[in-house]
Amino acid sequence: MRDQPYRLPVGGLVDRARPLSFRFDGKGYQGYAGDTLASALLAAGLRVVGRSFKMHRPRGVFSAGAEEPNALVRVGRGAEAVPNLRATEVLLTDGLEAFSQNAWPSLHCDIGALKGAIASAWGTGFYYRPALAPRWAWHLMEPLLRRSAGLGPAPGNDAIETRTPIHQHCDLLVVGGGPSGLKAAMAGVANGQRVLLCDDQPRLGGSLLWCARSIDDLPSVQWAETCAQHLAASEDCVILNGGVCFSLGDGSLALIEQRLGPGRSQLWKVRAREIVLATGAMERPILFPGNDRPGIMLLDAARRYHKQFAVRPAWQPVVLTNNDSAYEDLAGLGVQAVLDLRPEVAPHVCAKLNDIPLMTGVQVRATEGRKGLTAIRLQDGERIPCDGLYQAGGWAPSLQLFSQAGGRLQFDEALGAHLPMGPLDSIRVVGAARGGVDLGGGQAMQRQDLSLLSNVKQPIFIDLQNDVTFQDIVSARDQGFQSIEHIKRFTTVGMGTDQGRTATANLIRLLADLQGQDPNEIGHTTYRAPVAPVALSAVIGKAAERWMAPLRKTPFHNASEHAGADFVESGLWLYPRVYALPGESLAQATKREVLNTRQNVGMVDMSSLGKFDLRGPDALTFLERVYCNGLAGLQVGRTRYALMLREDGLIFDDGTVTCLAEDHYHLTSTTARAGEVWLHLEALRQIHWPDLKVTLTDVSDLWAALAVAGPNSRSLIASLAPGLDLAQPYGGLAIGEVAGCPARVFRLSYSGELGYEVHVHADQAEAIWQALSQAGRDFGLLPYGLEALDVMRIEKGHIAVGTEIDGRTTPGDLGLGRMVSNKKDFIGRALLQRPDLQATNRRRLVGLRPLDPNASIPPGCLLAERPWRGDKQDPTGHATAVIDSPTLGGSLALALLQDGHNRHGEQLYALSPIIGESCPVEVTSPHFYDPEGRRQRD
Amino acid sequence: MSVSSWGTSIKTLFSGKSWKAAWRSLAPADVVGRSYDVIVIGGGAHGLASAYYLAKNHGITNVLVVEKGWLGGGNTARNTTIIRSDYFLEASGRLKDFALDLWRDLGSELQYNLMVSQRGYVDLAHSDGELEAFQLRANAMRLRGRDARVVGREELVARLPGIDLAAGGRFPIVGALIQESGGVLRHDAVTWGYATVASRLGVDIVENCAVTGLKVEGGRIRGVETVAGEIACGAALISVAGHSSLLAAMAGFSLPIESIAVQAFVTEPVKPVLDAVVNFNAGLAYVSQTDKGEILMGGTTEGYNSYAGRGSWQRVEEAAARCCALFPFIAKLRLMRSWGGIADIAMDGNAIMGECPVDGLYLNAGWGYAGFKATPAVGWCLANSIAQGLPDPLISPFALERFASGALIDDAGAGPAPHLH
Amino acid sequence: MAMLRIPCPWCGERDETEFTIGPDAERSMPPLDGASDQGAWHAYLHLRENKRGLRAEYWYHGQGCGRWLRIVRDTMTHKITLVADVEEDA
Repeated sequence: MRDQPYRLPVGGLVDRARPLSFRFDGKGYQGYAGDTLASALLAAGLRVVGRSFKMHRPRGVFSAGAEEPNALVRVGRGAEAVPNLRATEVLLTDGLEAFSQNAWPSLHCDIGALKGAIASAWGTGFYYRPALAPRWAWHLMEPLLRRSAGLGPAPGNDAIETRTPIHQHCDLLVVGGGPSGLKAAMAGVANGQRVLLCDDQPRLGGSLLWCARSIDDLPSVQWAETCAQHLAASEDCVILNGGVCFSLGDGSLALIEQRLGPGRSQLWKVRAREIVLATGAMERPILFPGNDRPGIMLLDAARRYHKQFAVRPAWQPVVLTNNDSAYEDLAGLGVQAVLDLRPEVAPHVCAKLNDIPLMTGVQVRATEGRKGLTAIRLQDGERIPCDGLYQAGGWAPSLQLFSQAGGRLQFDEALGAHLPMGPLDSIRVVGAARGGVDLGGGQAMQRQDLSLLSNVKQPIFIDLQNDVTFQDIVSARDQGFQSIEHIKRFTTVGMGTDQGRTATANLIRLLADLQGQDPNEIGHTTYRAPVAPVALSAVIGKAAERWMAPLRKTPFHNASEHAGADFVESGLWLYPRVYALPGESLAQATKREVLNTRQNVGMVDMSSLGKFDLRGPDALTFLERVYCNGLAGLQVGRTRYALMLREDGLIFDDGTVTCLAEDHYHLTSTTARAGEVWLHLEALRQIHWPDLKVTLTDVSDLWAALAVAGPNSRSLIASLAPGLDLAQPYGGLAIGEVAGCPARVFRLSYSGELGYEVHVHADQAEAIWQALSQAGRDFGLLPYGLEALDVMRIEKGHIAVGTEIDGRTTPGDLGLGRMVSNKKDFIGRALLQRPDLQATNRRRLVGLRPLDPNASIPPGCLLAERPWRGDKQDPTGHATAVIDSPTLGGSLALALLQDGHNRHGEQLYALSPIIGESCPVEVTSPHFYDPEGRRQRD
Repeated sequence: MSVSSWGTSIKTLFSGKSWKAAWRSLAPADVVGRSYDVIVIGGGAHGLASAYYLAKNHGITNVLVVEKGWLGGGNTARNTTIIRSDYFLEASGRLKDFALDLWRDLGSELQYNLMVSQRGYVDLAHSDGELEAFQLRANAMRLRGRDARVVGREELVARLPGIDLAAGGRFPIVGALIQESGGVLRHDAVTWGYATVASRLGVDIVENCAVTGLKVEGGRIRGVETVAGEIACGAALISVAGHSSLLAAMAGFSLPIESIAVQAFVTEPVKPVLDAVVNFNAGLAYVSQTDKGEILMGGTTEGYNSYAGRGSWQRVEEAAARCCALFPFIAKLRLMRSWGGIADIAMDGNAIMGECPVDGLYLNAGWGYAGFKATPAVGWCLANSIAQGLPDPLISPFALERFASGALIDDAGAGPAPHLH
Repeated sequence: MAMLRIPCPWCGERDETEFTIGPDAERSMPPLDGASDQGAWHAYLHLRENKRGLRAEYWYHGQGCGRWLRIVRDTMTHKITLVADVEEDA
């Protein structure tokens, strides 16, 4: 434990009754409750607290807020560590551990500084140089660059705290809890508005906490405290302390990160009728050579450390300024001289200095001190020893949010910074943010004569974090870059984690001077969200991925699980993959399930299919327009396979249409396309054909469906539903009860076997499953999963979404050309006639069998005339589905082959370069198993 | 590497003062009233590459590049700088293959370090079915002479230490397709390199000069009207990602394109931790680490048309959640910068290049948010097409007529729904 | 950052996340009378103006009333100036 040499014995808003211990780079220090890490480090007398990004120069605390470019630290150890926090924004807590960054082996002896010195000697744009352009050169250089960049180390993967974002609506959102923000919030509450006040500090008051003014006859701190208490007591006011509004966008959506501690943040999404931006203003630095030494900071920050934290950042500081605001509130800072760039200062302003000596017409030409400022040199060679330099270069209103929300900015010459232009819907800017009274002395400010800065030896930093100097900007200009955007990107000025807060105003001024332009012609780079870096743990919230696509379970889920299903996530669904016996592999289980279905009977959960109920006098007209095949002849109680095309003529989906009554139909879609088909049908019905008298209902979730397939399927169902007519032909429908459950039994088959789809109400899924399982024992019933379902459809040559229906195939490509009606008009008809969709050389669906029955067709293979020998080849087709066929033995595949329907019997090679295989194959019909369809029809 | 070239390299490394990193930008007034063989409308990487190859490969130097804002300030500045050629469809794949070939040594050719970093592109599969589709794609790439491999979980973890294969539990990862020759590069350097060398070869460049009209007479392009005045030309190329339809309208025709906003964002920089570009397919997000150390992420488009240049917060949430599911440590970092671009997405999700209904007017449009990787190939092939008056074979499949004829190039199979591409 | 609020005529003002964006509403689907040709469908399905400014489009309120809505939105500002059920236009 060490004492606090730079802490004043009395004063400040810190709680001296609550001393806190903390560690920085492994050493123990002490501070008080109410300190930030920065104020505690300053109190401890630590001058070097970090190393800069590019040049690894030693740096000290520069500011007291979000604009801090230098004092970036990692807080916490191991998995809990959070990198790149600004010490000025880290609240001191007992036991806090912080580490400096970007320095190796230590903060005071950093090897990177050597590289930094060299890179700086090479000048700006070094990395773009021709010498590094050849591949080999960049190969050597890139790892070095990557290692030296990057600030803190990446944290670990564990111990992440996420919080679900909070949605909040209010009448008035006030951003900023300084004098203007407090007034706006008080007025809002007085007007009966629901107010949300968001302030980035732990304590309301903003600059009131460190200025020496009175408001309403109260000292500023007390006035702030009174307001805070009043607002806190109001039921209509929500106060977000530590809340950073980082985005303001369309629909008056304000995004606020409420910082609860390192690595812990809460996101607020606020919708406000009216927004007041009381975001204040930031003091600007003055440009001078050697302006990055520890001990050099903003005057307002020094005032704040002094008044709010009772810390003297330096014992013998000087103030460097160009405006009157620097003459306020200097008492107690120990300022030994005020240096003003202006040749003259008004007497009433000078009077405020009391005994502090004033020098006018000053230029700082150099600074001294390796690990902290020890002296400065002026233009006449005079050397002034000092351990601190507080600069006050005028004020820049914080208008990032205003600009983001669409507000335009205008550069104000007198202020030397941008001001808001014109009003914005429901957004008001108040106080210092609009150049208001608090920026007193603006008129007396003198523009810095930047021409005086050439021919100096020491670097003049414009962007402290990214080490971009005045000289770099001049060099970029000399190389021909003109646009501020190009210069920003070439030099990286303003692209650090501080978002260039302390750099922007000086950069615009500098470019304007260099180019002899009005600063408004230079413009400014676009302000985008976030205004300040925001924790991603707060952004993503809890388990965001699950919310985006909740996993769905079918009504048979529990029954399947009980039956021993291994589940797989398939699209939106958790689906039984196989019902493996102990010790059985996926392939073995699949084979057993397939063979049992083909020999006895199997059942598979089909509940995830899209199911739609269509009614109305125009139902048939609707269907005839929607599907490409003719449905006019479909009789009541019959089901037909149906193909839906996209408007561009390519296959969209396949399914079934069942006629329940003349004006009542039941449609199914594939699982994969269920949502899209619904949107499509509803768009047609509501938007395009409102004149058709039909209603459409999504009944997907109301019906649980089991496909029962295999030679014993009829006997099995008959045993549970003696009254049902199951002998009707393929496509028939029986309505009645199965095992006491009201059911629709469709005679359909995807597997190619005699089969029925039994649809019952979803809440009877469990009952029908149990009944079938029990009765099924006598018939050899086994459930089967997604794998067996897929294997059987491939053996049968049925097409599926995702493989054959890939968004590029037409009905003709998949051998379904004859289904396409030429007797009616339908969605997709016109564009299906486009010549390239009717061309003869398109890839068409075929089957493949290996010439050697023991060989395996490699999955994901391409078809070509020659085997793979490592050379390039133009493939003539590709496999869409490859299986080992349990039923037929050996390997088989479905494939799309150029002109394939005319090439049955040809021999080709199935190539898989990634596994180095070429399998000679014969082109066959895609219908491998029971091509005549006897098993499912007879 | 010869000794003398070492010497030259060392010399250029230090001769910072003599080497010029930027082009000569003319004032709009300097080019008004002049006549050019070719005017390239749009000073992005595609337009500049086209101008460069016209000059370099064909000796056509009476060329003007006219840019509305600052060079490379459109989608060239707003993409995630990924280069890869992991396409299944021949036309798509071949063009990006050629681009990758050109990228490799483009820095040497331009004498400008583009920071090409072929650190690998990893496309993640979330199901066995998806992995089989990846095998097909990898095989197609290999048959085109490209590197590609498909890996399972163990190999993937070895390649990407720190990846969480459970991916938050909802979309676990079963494997990946890896193209090691894929990677990232410095997008701004591409703009600056092409502009600087094209300018040196005699191409004129003018910035802050918006095109307001196209002068078409007798079905032929005669000139370009700008805010500063009219400039005559023999041929013109429209290469204005994000505003293609507006330019086409000036010439009197419509394009099969929708203009949709898309965004990307970066975290604060951290030390090297991610040494590949990783693509998450369940909903789409892509993540890489820049040389500065920032974690760079992107996701899907907004879905709706927009010229506002800003995207929705929901897309950021989604893409960030996906990236954090893959690499949980990212959740501990902070989002530092975001930006939005306007993607002109064609109705089959692929680019439109070549001639258009106006003689002498060429199109380069519809790249969606996938155009950056193709830059050198696009420039090369368009320069060929313009110089020879014949479509280059690599870009002829991308002709505008394909929407009327049905010869679509739909990599995603999503059909005429641009926001799904 | 944007996040549209859409005043649904049936459900009230809701976040855009409840909706699915559909096609351009600037043109009508050709009738299915057997007479429409490739050209008409090509123009309808593919060609877009992508105007700066007001644009009519269809949005589906999937997490609400299940109605397709016709919305007029400014592509420069994202400001929504009209929301109506598609039937109101018909």
